[in-house]
Amino acid sequence: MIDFQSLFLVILFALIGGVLMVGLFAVAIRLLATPSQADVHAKRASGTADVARDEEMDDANGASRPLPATIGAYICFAFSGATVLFALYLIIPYFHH
Amino acid sequence: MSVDNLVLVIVVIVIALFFDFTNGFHDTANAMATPIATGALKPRTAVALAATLNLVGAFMSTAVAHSVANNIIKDPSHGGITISPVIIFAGLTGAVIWNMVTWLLGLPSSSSHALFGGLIGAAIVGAGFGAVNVTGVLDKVLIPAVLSPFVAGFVAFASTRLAYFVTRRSDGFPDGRGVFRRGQILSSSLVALSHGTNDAQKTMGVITLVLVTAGIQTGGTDPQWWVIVACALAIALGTYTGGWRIIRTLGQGLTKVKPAQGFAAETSTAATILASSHFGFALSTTQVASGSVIGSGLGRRGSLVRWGTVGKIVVGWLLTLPASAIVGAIVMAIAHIGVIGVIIDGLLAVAAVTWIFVRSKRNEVHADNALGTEVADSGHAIDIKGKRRRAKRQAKAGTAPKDSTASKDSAATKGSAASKAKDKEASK
Repeated sequence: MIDFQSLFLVILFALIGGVLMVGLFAVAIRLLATPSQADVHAKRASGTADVARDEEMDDANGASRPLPATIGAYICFAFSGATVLFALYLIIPYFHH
Repeated sequence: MSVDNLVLVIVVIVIALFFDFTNGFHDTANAMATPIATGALKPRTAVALAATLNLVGAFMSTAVAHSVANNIIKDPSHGGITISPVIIFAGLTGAVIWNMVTWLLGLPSSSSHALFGGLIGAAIVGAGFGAVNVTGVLDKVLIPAVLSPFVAGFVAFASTRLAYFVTRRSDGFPDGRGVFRRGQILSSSLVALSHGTNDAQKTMGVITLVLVTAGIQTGGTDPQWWVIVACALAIALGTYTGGWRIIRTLGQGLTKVKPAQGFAAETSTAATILASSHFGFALSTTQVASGSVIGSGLGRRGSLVRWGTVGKIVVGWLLTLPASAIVGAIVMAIAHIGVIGVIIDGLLAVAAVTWIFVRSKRNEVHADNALGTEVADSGHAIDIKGKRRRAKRQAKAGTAPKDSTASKDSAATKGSAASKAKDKEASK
Protein backbone atom coordinates (compact mmCIF):
# COMPACT_ATOMS: atom_id res chain seq x y z
CA MET A 1 0.00 0.00 0.00
CA ILE A 2 1.26 3.42 -0.91
CA ASP A 3 0.97 5.69 2.08
CA PHE A 4 -0.77 8.69 0.53
CA GLN A 5 -1.75 10.02 3.92
CA SER A 6 1.89 10.47 4.95
CA LEU A 7 2.71 12.10 1.60
CA PHE A 8 -0.13 14.54 2.11
CA LEU A 9 0.99 15.27 5.68
CA VAL A 10 4.56 15.97 4.49
CA ILE A 11 3.27 18.52 2.00
CA LEU A 12 0.94 20.06 4.59
CA PHE A 13 3.58 20.31 7.35
CA ALA A 14 6.25 21.62 5.00
CA LEU A 15 3.85 24.33 3.79
CA ILE A 16 2.63 25.31 7.26
CA GLY A 17 6.14 25.25 8.73
CA GLY A 18 7.77 27.21 5.90
CA VAL A 19 5.06 29.83 5.53
CA LEU A 20 4.65 30.33 9.29
CA MET A 21 8.35 30.76 9.98
CA VAL A 22 9.00 33.04 7.00
CA GLY A 23 5.76 34.97 7.59
CA LEU A 24 6.55 35.70 11.24
CA PHE A 25 10.10 36.70 10.36
CA ALA A 26 8.81 39.02 7.64
CA VAL A 27 6.32 40.67 10.01
CA ALA A 28 9.16 41.19 12.50
CA ILE A 29 11.25 42.87 9.81
CA ARG A 30 8.30 44.99 8.75
CA LEU A 31 8.01 46.18 12.36
CA LEU A 32 11.76 46.79 12.60
CA ALA A 33 11.50 48.99 9.52
CA THR A 34 8.90 51.25 11.14
CA PRO A 35 10.08 54.85 10.72
CA SER A 36 10.12 57.18 13.72
CA GLN A 37 7.27 59.66 14.15
CA ALA A 38 9.74 62.50 13.66
CA ASP A 39 10.81 61.09 10.28
CA VAL A 40 7.21 60.67 9.19
CA HIS A 41 6.39 64.26 10.18
CA ALA A 42 9.51 65.59 8.48
CA LYS A 43 8.60 63.76 5.29
CA ARG A 44 5.07 65.10 5.39
CA ALA A 45 6.28 68.64 6.05
CA SER A 46 8.72 68.50 3.14
CA GLY A 47 5.88 67.39 0.90
CA THR A 48 7.83 64.48 -0.67
CA ALA A 49 5.53 62.20 -2.62
CA ASP A 50 5.08 58.59 -1.52
CA VAL A 51 7.28 56.27 -3.56
CA ALA A 52 7.12 52.49 -3.45
CA ARG A 53 10.14 50.99 -1.72
CA ASP A 54 11.05 47.52 -2.97
CA GLU A 55 14.73 47.08 -2.21
CA GLU A 56 16.73 43.96 -1.35
CA MET A 57 19.56 45.15 0.86
CA ASP A 58 17.95 47.88 3.00
CA ASP A 59 18.86 47.82 6.65
CA ALA A 60 16.13 48.34 9.19
CA ASN A 61 15.66 51.81 10.56
CA GLY A 62 17.85 52.21 13.65
CA ALA A 63 17.36 53.72 17.07
CA SER A 64 14.55 56.15 16.34
CA ARG A 65 11.90 53.46 15.87
CA PRO A 66 8.89 53.61 18.21
CA LEU A 67 9.22 51.26 21.20
CA PRO A 68 6.04 49.19 20.55
CA ALA A 69 7.31 48.34 17.08
CA THR A 70 10.60 47.09 18.52
CA ILE A 71 8.83 44.98 21.14
CA GLY A 72 6.43 43.58 18.52
CA ALA A 73 9.34 42.75 16.23
CA TYR A 74 11.17 40.79 18.91
CA ILE A 75 8.00 38.91 19.82
CA CYS A 76 7.60 37.91 16.16
CA PHE A 77 11.25 36.84 15.95
CA ALA A 78 10.73 34.74 19.07
CA PHE A 79 7.63 33.08 17.64
CA SER A 80 9.45 32.41 14.36
CA GLY A 81 12.19 30.65 16.34
CA ALA A 82 9.60 28.86 18.46
CA THR A 83 8.07 27.41 15.27
CA VAL A 84 11.40 25.74 14.60
CA LEU A 85 11.76 24.40 18.13
CA PHE A 86 8.20 23.08 18.13
CA ALA A 87 8.76 21.36 14.78
CA LEU A 88 11.94 19.73 16.12
CA TYR A 89 10.07 18.68 19.27
CA LEU A 90 7.45 16.98 17.09
CA ILE A 91 10.06 15.25 14.94
CA ILE A 92 12.51 13.90 17.52
CA PRO A 93 11.21 10.53 18.79
CA TYR A 94 13.13 10.94 22.05
CA PHE A 95 10.48 13.39 23.33
CA HIS A 96 7.62 10.99 22.69
CA HIS A 97 8.64 7.84 24.52
CA MET B 1 29.06 -16.85 8.71
CA SER B 2 31.90 -17.44 6.32
CA VAL B 3 35.09 -15.39 6.38
CA ASP B 4 34.36 -14.26 2.79
CA ASN B 5 31.10 -12.75 3.89
CA LEU B 6 32.67 -11.05 6.91
CA VAL B 7 35.33 -9.45 4.70
CA LEU B 8 32.63 -8.33 2.28
CA VAL B 9 30.55 -6.83 5.10
CA ILE B 10 33.57 -4.86 6.32
CA VAL B 11 34.32 -3.67 2.77
CA VAL B 12 30.69 -2.55 2.34
CA ILE B 13 30.80 -0.65 5.64
CA VAL B 14 34.01 1.11 4.65
CA ILE B 15 32.71 2.07 1.18
CA ALA B 16 29.37 3.15 2.67
CA LEU B 17 31.07 5.39 5.22
CA PHE B 18 33.22 6.91 2.49
CA PHE B 19 30.06 7.45 0.44
CA ASP B 20 28.61 9.25 3.48
CA PHE B 21 31.77 11.34 3.79
CA THR B 22 31.66 12.46 0.14
CA ASN B 23 27.97 13.24 0.57
CA GLY B 24 28.75 15.70 3.36
CA PHE B 25 31.72 16.92 1.34
CA HIS B 26 29.55 17.81 -1.66
CA ASP B 27 26.62 19.27 0.20
CA THR B 28 28.22 21.77 2.58
CA ALA B 29 27.75 24.43 -0.05
CA ASN B 30 24.00 23.80 -0.29
CA ALA B 31 23.53 24.95 3.27
CA MET B 32 26.25 27.45 3.88
CA ALA B 33 27.03 29.21 0.60
CA THR B 34 24.43 31.95 1.05
CA PRO B 35 25.27 33.15 4.59
CA ILE B 36 28.95 33.28 3.61
CA ALA B 37 28.18 35.08 0.37
CA THR B 38 26.12 37.71 2.13
CA GLY B 39 28.67 38.07 4.92
CA ALA B 40 26.30 36.87 7.64
CA LEU B 41 28.77 34.20 8.77
CA LYS B 42 32.54 33.84 8.53
CA PRO B 43 33.51 30.85 6.32
CA ARG B 44 35.19 28.98 9.17
CA THR B 45 32.25 29.50 11.53
CA ALA B 46 29.73 28.51 8.87
CA VAL B 47 31.55 25.28 8.01
CA ALA B 48 32.01 24.30 11.67
CA LEU B 49 28.34 25.05 12.34
CA ALA B 50 27.22 22.98 9.34
CA ALA B 51 29.38 20.04 10.44
CA THR B 52 28.06 20.15 14.01
CA LEU B 53 24.44 20.37 12.89
CA ASN B 54 24.88 17.49 10.45
CA LEU B 55 26.22 15.45 13.35
CA VAL B 56 23.26 16.38 15.56
CA GLY B 57 20.79 15.81 12.73
CA ALA B 58 22.07 12.29 12.15
CA PHE B 59 21.07 11.35 15.70
CA MET B 60 17.62 12.87 15.50
CA SER B 61 15.67 10.03 13.98
CA THR B 62 16.03 6.66 12.28
CA ALA B 63 12.89 6.64 10.11
CA VAL B 64 14.78 7.07 6.82
CA ALA B 65 17.36 4.42 7.76
CA HIS B 66 14.46 2.12 8.53
CA SER B 67 12.93 2.77 5.09
CA VAL B 68 16.22 2.13 3.29
CA ALA B 69 16.91 -1.05 5.25
CA ASN B 70 13.40 -2.49 5.01
CA ASN B 71 11.43 -0.98 2.13
CA ILE B 72 13.67 -1.23 -0.93
CA ILE B 73 14.73 -4.83 -0.99
CA LYS B 74 12.49 -7.54 0.39
CA ASP B 75 13.36 -8.94 3.76
CA PRO B 76 15.41 -12.11 3.12
CA SER B 77 13.25 -14.03 5.58
CA HIS B 78 10.16 -13.50 3.42
CA GLY B 79 9.41 -15.65 0.39
CA GLY B 80 12.73 -17.46 0.44
CA ILE B 81 14.53 -14.79 -1.61
CA THR B 82 18.18 -14.73 -0.75
CA ILE B 83 19.77 -11.32 -0.78
CA SER B 84 23.45 -11.70 -0.09
CA PRO B 85 25.98 -9.11 1.06
CA VAL B 86 27.41 -9.34 -2.49
CA ILE B 87 24.25 -7.70 -3.85
CA ILE B 88 24.50 -4.80 -1.41
CA PHE B 89 28.17 -4.51 -2.26
CA ALA B 90 27.42 -4.42 -5.99
CA GLY B 91 24.65 -1.85 -5.51
CA LEU B 92 26.87 0.46 -3.51
CA THR B 93 29.72 0.07 -5.98
CA GLY B 94 27.35 0.87 -8.85
CA ALA B 95 26.26 4.04 -7.05
CA VAL B 96 29.83 5.15 -6.43
CA ILE B 97 30.81 4.52 -10.06
CA TRP B 98 27.74 6.37 -11.35
CA ASN B 99 28.61 9.32 -9.13
CA MET B 100 32.09 9.37 -10.61
CA VAL B 101 30.82 9.18 -14.19
CA THR B 102 28.36 12.05 -13.71
CA TRP B 103 31.09 14.03 -12.01
CA LEU B 104 33.40 13.57 -14.99
CA LEU B 105 30.71 14.32 -17.58
CA GLY B 106 29.34 17.26 -15.65
CA LEU B 107 25.80 15.87 -15.47
CA PRO B 108 23.53 16.87 -12.63
CA SER B 109 23.02 13.88 -10.37
CA SER B 110 21.92 12.85 -6.94
CA SER B 111 24.02 10.56 -4.79
CA SER B 112 20.87 9.41 -2.98
CA HIS B 113 19.15 8.33 -6.18
CA ALA B 114 22.36 6.72 -7.35
CA LEU B 115 22.39 4.70 -4.16
CA PHE B 116 18.81 3.48 -4.56
CA GLY B 117 19.21 2.85 -8.28
CA GLY B 118 22.39 0.86 -7.71
CA LEU B 119 20.74 -1.30 -5.06
CA ILE B 120 17.67 -1.96 -7.21
CA GLY B 121 19.76 -2.85 -10.29
CA ALA B 122 22.01 -5.17 -8.31
CA ALA B 123 19.05 -6.85 -6.61
CA ILE B 124 17.31 -7.51 -9.93
CA VAL B 125 20.40 -9.13 -11.46
CA GLY B 126 21.42 -10.90 -8.27
CA ALA B 127 18.07 -12.24 -7.08
CA GLY B 128 15.49 -11.48 -9.76
CA PHE B 129 12.68 -8.94 -10.00
CA GLY B 130 10.94 -10.59 -7.05
CA ALA B 131 13.65 -9.28 -4.72
CA VAL B 132 12.66 -5.66 -5.21
CA ASN B 133 9.95 -4.38 -2.91
CA VAL B 134 8.05 -2.51 -5.62
CA THR B 135 5.52 -0.87 -3.30
CA GLY B 136 8.25 0.11 -0.87
CA VAL B 137 10.36 1.65 -3.63
CA LEU B 138 7.38 3.55 -5.03
CA ASP B 139 6.19 4.68 -1.62
CA LYS B 140 9.43 5.62 0.09
CA VAL B 141 11.72 6.52 -2.82
CA LEU B 142 10.18 7.15 -6.25
CA ILE B 143 7.10 9.18 -5.37
CA PRO B 144 8.92 11.33 -2.77
CA ALA B 145 11.80 11.78 -5.23
CA VAL B 146 9.54 13.12 -7.95
CA LEU B 147 7.32 15.14 -5.63
CA SER B 148 9.80 16.66 -3.18
CA PRO B 149 11.47 19.27 -5.43
CA PHE B 150 8.03 20.46 -6.52
CA VAL B 151 6.73 20.55 -2.94
CA ALA B 152 9.79 22.50 -1.83
CA GLY B 153 9.42 24.77 -4.86
CA PHE B 154 5.79 25.44 -4.07
CA VAL B 155 6.49 26.15 -0.39
CA ALA B 156 9.38 28.42 -1.39
CA PHE B 157 7.19 30.23 -3.92
CA ALA B 158 4.46 30.85 -1.35
CA SER B 159 6.80 31.95 1.42
CA THR B 160 8.87 34.18 -0.87
CA ARG B 161 5.69 35.90 -2.08
CA LEU B 162 4.64 36.35 1.52
CA ALA B 163 8.03 37.69 2.64
CA TYR B 164 8.14 40.29 -0.14
CA PHE B 165 4.49 41.21 0.29
CA VAL B 166 4.81 41.79 4.03
CA THR B 167 8.00 43.85 3.80
CA ARG B 168 7.07 45.96 0.77
CA ARG B 169 6.68 49.61 1.71
CA SER B 170 4.64 52.25 -0.08
CA ASP B 171 5.98 55.28 1.82
CA GLY B 172 9.55 55.32 0.59
CA PHE B 173 11.23 54.47 3.93
CA PRO B 174 13.85 51.68 4.02
CA ASP B 175 12.11 48.28 3.96
CA GLY B 176 14.63 46.44 6.15
CA ARG B 177 15.00 43.39 3.90
CA GLY B 178 18.74 43.34 4.55
CA VAL B 179 17.85 41.92 7.98
CA PHE B 180 16.93 38.65 6.25
CA ARG B 181 20.68 38.23 5.86
CA ARG B 182 20.91 37.58 9.59
CA GLY B 183 17.85 35.33 9.38
CA GLN B 184 19.81 33.22 6.94
CA ILE B 185 22.07 32.10 9.79
CA LEU B 186 18.99 30.39 11.22
CA SER B 187 17.63 29.06 7.94
CA SER B 188 21.03 27.73 6.76
CA SER B 189 21.53 26.01 10.08
CA LEU B 190 18.18 24.31 9.63
CA VAL B 191 19.21 23.13 6.16
CA ALA B 192 22.40 21.62 7.62
CA LEU B 193 20.40 19.92 10.37
CA SER B 194 17.85 18.50 7.98
CA HIS B 195 20.66 17.27 5.72
CA GLY B 196 21.96 15.21 8.63
CA THR B 197 18.52 13.73 9.29
CA ASN B 198 18.06 12.53 5.71
CA ASP B 199 21.44 11.86 4.10
CA ALA B 200 23.33 10.33 7.02
CA GLN B 201 20.43 7.94 7.55
CA LYS B 202 20.65 6.57 4.02
CA THR B 203 24.10 5.23 4.80
CA MET B 204 22.86 3.85 8.12
CA GLY B 205 20.16 2.07 6.17
CA VAL B 206 22.64 0.50 3.74
CA ILE B 207 24.95 -0.69 6.51
CA THR B 208 21.97 -2.10 8.40
CA LEU B 209 20.86 -3.84 5.21
CA VAL B 210 24.24 -5.52 4.73
CA LEU B 211 24.29 -6.59 8.40
CA VAL B 212 20.83 -8.10 7.98
CA THR B 213 21.72 -9.94 4.77
CA ALA B 214 24.86 -11.31 6.43
CA GLY B 215 22.74 -12.64 9.27
CA ILE B 216 24.44 -10.43 11.89
CA GLN B 217 21.29 -8.43 12.56
CA THR B 218 17.61 -9.39 12.54
CA GLY B 219 15.52 -7.92 9.74
CA GLY B 220 13.19 -5.05 10.60
CA THR B 221 15.24 -3.79 13.53
CA ASP B 222 16.70 -0.30 13.94
CA PRO B 223 20.34 0.52 13.12
CA GLN B 224 22.95 -0.47 15.72
CA TRP B 225 24.24 2.38 17.85
CA TRP B 226 27.76 2.14 16.43
CA VAL B 227 26.37 2.40 12.90
CA ILE B 228 24.54 5.60 13.84
CA VAL B 229 27.67 7.07 15.47
CA ALA B 230 29.94 6.11 12.55
CA CYS B 231 27.58 7.57 9.93
CA ALA B 232 27.04 10.76 11.91
CA LEU B 233 30.80 11.25 12.27
CA ALA B 234 31.48 10.47 8.60
CA ILE B 235 28.98 13.02 7.30
CA ALA B 236 30.10 15.68 9.80
CA LEU B 237 33.75 15.15 8.88
CA GLY B 238 32.87 15.30 5.18
CA THR B 239 30.92 18.51 5.70
CA TYR B 240 33.84 20.08 7.52
CA THR B 241 36.41 18.98 4.94
CA GLY B 242 34.23 20.13 2.06
CA GLY B 243 34.08 23.68 3.32
CA TRP B 244 36.50 25.14 0.80
CA ARG B 245 34.11 24.25 -2.01
CA ILE B 246 31.82 27.00 -0.77
CA ILE B 247 34.31 29.54 -1.96
CA ARG B 248 33.98 28.15 -5.46
CA THR B 249 30.21 28.11 -5.33
CA LEU B 250 30.33 31.78 -4.38
CA GLY B 251 31.58 32.63 -7.83
CA GLN B 252 28.88 30.58 -9.50
CA GLY B 253 25.62 32.34 -9.10
CA LEU B 254 24.24 31.63 -5.67
CA THR B 255 25.00 35.25 -4.91
CA LYS B 256 22.17 36.11 -7.27
CA VAL B 257 19.87 34.93 -4.54
CA LYS B 258 18.85 37.92 -2.42
CA PRO B 259 18.56 37.78 1.40
CA ALA B 260 14.74 37.65 1.62
CA GLN B 261 14.55 35.10 -1.16
CA GLY B 262 17.41 33.02 0.27
CA PHE B 263 15.79 32.95 3.69
CA ALA B 264 12.49 31.77 2.23
CA ALA B 265 14.19 29.18 0.01
CA GLU B 266 16.27 27.72 2.81
CA THR B 267 13.38 27.59 5.24
CA SER B 268 11.32 25.74 2.62
CA THR B 269 14.17 23.31 1.96
CA ALA B 270 14.56 22.57 5.66
CA ALA B 271 10.79 22.25 6.25
CA THR B 272 10.40 19.83 3.33
CA ILE B 273 13.37 17.66 4.29
CA LEU B 274 12.54 17.55 8.00
CA ALA B 275 8.92 16.61 7.35
CA SER B 276 10.02 13.91 4.89
CA SER B 277 12.66 12.52 7.24
CA HIS B 278 10.04 12.26 9.95
CA PHE B 279 7.84 10.05 7.76
CA GLY B 280 10.79 8.02 6.52
CA PHE B 281 10.83 9.37 2.97
CA ALA B 282 14.32 9.28 1.51
CA LEU B 283 14.88 12.15 -0.88
CA SER B 284 17.65 14.02 -2.60
CA THR B 285 18.53 17.01 -0.46
CA THR B 286 20.24 18.69 -3.41
CA GLN B 287 17.12 18.38 -5.56
CA VAL B 288 14.96 19.79 -2.80
CA ALA B 289 17.34 22.73 -2.39
CA SER B 290 17.32 23.32 -6.16
CA GLY B 291 13.53 23.15 -6.24
CA SER B 292 13.37 25.76 -3.48
CA VAL B 293 15.76 28.12 -5.24
CA ILE B 294 13.70 27.90 -8.45
CA GLY B 295 10.40 28.28 -6.56
CA SER B 296 11.61 31.28 -4.61
CA GLY B 297 12.95 32.86 -7.82
CA LEU B 298 9.49 32.54 -9.33
CA GLY B 299 8.07 34.18 -6.21
CA ARG B 300 10.05 37.35 -6.85
CA ARG B 301 8.69 40.17 -8.94
CA GLY B 302 9.71 40.34 -12.57
CA SER B 303 11.00 36.76 -12.72
CA LEU B 304 11.43 34.95 -16.02
CA VAL B 305 11.95 31.21 -16.20
CA ARG B 306 14.76 29.91 -18.38
CA TRP B 307 12.96 26.74 -19.36
CA GLY B 308 16.06 25.30 -21.01
CA THR B 309 17.99 25.32 -17.75
CA VAL B 310 15.01 24.06 -15.75
CA GLY B 311 14.54 21.26 -18.28
CA LYS B 312 18.18 20.20 -17.99
CA ILE B 313 17.92 20.07 -14.20
CA VAL B 314 14.66 18.09 -14.27
CA VAL B 315 15.99 15.57 -16.80
CA GLY B 316 18.97 15.08 -14.48
CA TRP B 317 16.55 14.40 -11.63
CA LEU B 318 14.68 11.73 -13.59
CA LEU B 319 17.68 10.09 -15.25
CA THR B 320 19.80 9.24 -12.20
CA LEU B 321 17.78 6.36 -10.78
CA PRO B 322 17.38 4.21 -13.92
CA ALA B 323 20.93 4.95 -15.07
CA SER B 324 22.52 3.96 -11.78
CA ALA B 325 20.27 0.88 -11.71
CA ILE B 326 21.91 -0.19 -14.98
CA VAL B 327 25.37 0.41 -13.54
CA GLY B 328 24.42 -1.54 -10.39
CA ALA B 329 23.19 -4.38 -12.60
CA ILE B 330 26.45 -4.48 -14.55
CA VAL B 331 28.53 -4.49 -11.38
CA MET B 332 26.40 -7.33 -10.04
CA ALA B 333 26.82 -9.26 -13.29
CA ILE B 334 30.60 -8.97 -12.90
CA ALA B 335 30.33 -10.10 -9.26
CA HIS B 336 28.51 -13.21 -10.49
CA ILE B 337 31.80 -14.46 -12.02
CA GLY B 338 32.91 -15.31 -8.51
CA VAL B 339 35.62 -14.10 -6.15
CA ILE B 340 37.61 -12.57 -9.03
CA GLY B 341 34.55 -10.61 -10.13
CA VAL B 342 34.02 -9.27 -6.62
CA ILE B 343 37.68 -8.24 -6.45
CA ILE B 344 37.39 -6.47 -9.84
CA ASP B 345 34.31 -4.63 -8.56
CA GLY B 346 36.08 -3.75 -5.35
CA LEU B 347 39.02 -2.28 -7.24
CA LEU B 348 36.61 -0.32 -9.44
CA ALA B 349 34.88 1.07 -6.34
CA VAL B 350 38.14 2.09 -4.68
CA ALA B 351 39.39 3.67 -7.91
CA ALA B 352 36.12 5.57 -8.36
CA VAL B 353 36.05 6.83 -4.78
CA THR B 354 39.68 7.91 -4.89
CA TRP B 355 39.20 9.56 -8.27
CA ILE B 356 36.19 11.55 -7.07
CA PHE B 357 38.08 12.66 -4.00
CA VAL B 358 41.21 13.69 -5.91
CA ARG B 359 39.16 15.46 -8.58
CA SER B 360 37.15 17.42 -6.08
CA LYS B 361 40.27 18.36 -4.13
CA ARG B 362 41.56 20.29 -7.10
CA ASN B 363 40.95 23.91 -6.48
CA GLU B 364 40.14 24.80 -10.06
CA VAL B 365 36.86 26.29 -11.16
CA HIS B 366 34.89 24.07 -13.50
CA ALA B 367 31.90 25.67 -15.17
CA ASP B 368 30.46 22.29 -16.11
CA ASN B 369 31.30 20.56 -12.88
CA ALA B 370 27.87 19.60 -11.67
CA LEU B 371 28.37 17.91 -8.31
CA GLY B 372 27.44 20.25 -5.52
CA THR B 373 26.81 23.18 -7.80
CA GLU B 374 23.40 22.08 -9.00
CA VAL B 375 21.77 24.41 -6.52
CA ALA B 376 23.85 27.24 -7.92
CA ASP B 377 22.71 26.30 -11.42
CA SER B 378 19.14 26.53 -10.25
CA GLY B 379 19.81 30.15 -9.38
CA HIS B 380 20.41 30.72 -13.09
CA ALA B 381 17.16 29.05 -14.08
CA ILE B 382 15.21 32.13 -13.11
CA ASP B 383 16.03 35.48 -14.60
CA ILE B 384 15.04 38.40 -12.42
CA LYS B 385 14.61 41.56 -14.41
CA GLY B 386 17.20 44.02 -13.13
CA LYS B 387 16.23 47.09 -11.16
CA ARG B 388 17.55 49.25 -14.00
CA ARG B 389 15.26 47.68 -16.56
CA ARG B 390 12.34 48.00 -14.21
CA ALA B 391 13.30 51.58 -13.44
CA LYS B 392 13.36 52.31 -17.18
CA ARG B 393 9.95 50.80 -17.56
CA GLN B 394 8.63 52.83 -14.65
CA ALA B 395 10.27 55.97 -16.03
CA LYS B 396 8.42 55.41 -19.27
CA ALA B 397 5.21 55.08 -17.32
CA GLY B 398 6.04 58.39 -15.65
CA THR B 399 6.80 57.26 -12.09
CA ALA B 400 10.55 57.46 -11.69
CA PRO B 401 11.71 55.73 -8.50
CA LYS B 402 13.92 57.79 -6.26
CA ASP B 403 17.62 56.77 -6.04
CA SER B 404 16.78 53.05 -6.11
CA THR B 405 19.56 52.08 -8.51
CA ALA B 406 22.20 54.12 -6.73
CA SER B 407 21.60 52.56 -3.31
CA LYS B 408 21.49 49.07 -4.76
CA ASP B 409 24.77 49.51 -6.63
CA SER B 410 26.63 50.74 -3.59
CA ALA B 411 25.33 47.83 -1.53
CA ALA B 412 26.34 45.37 -4.24
CA THR B 413 29.90 46.64 -4.49
CA LYS B 414 30.26 46.56 -0.74
CA GLY B 415 29.02 42.97 -0.68
CA SER B 416 31.35 41.72 -3.40
CA ALA B 417 34.35 43.44 -1.85
CA ALA B 418 33.59 41.75 1.45
CA SER B 419 33.26 38.32 -0.12
CA LYS B 420 36.49 38.77 -2.07
CA ALA B 421 38.28 39.58 1.15
CA LYS B 422 36.82 36.42 2.65
CA ASP B 423 37.97 34.36 -0.33
CA LYS B 424 41.50 35.46 0.31
CA GLU B 425 41.24 34.71 3.99
CA ALA B 426 39.83 31.26 3.37
CA SER B 427 42.31 30.27 0.67
CA LYS B 428 45.14 30.86 3.12
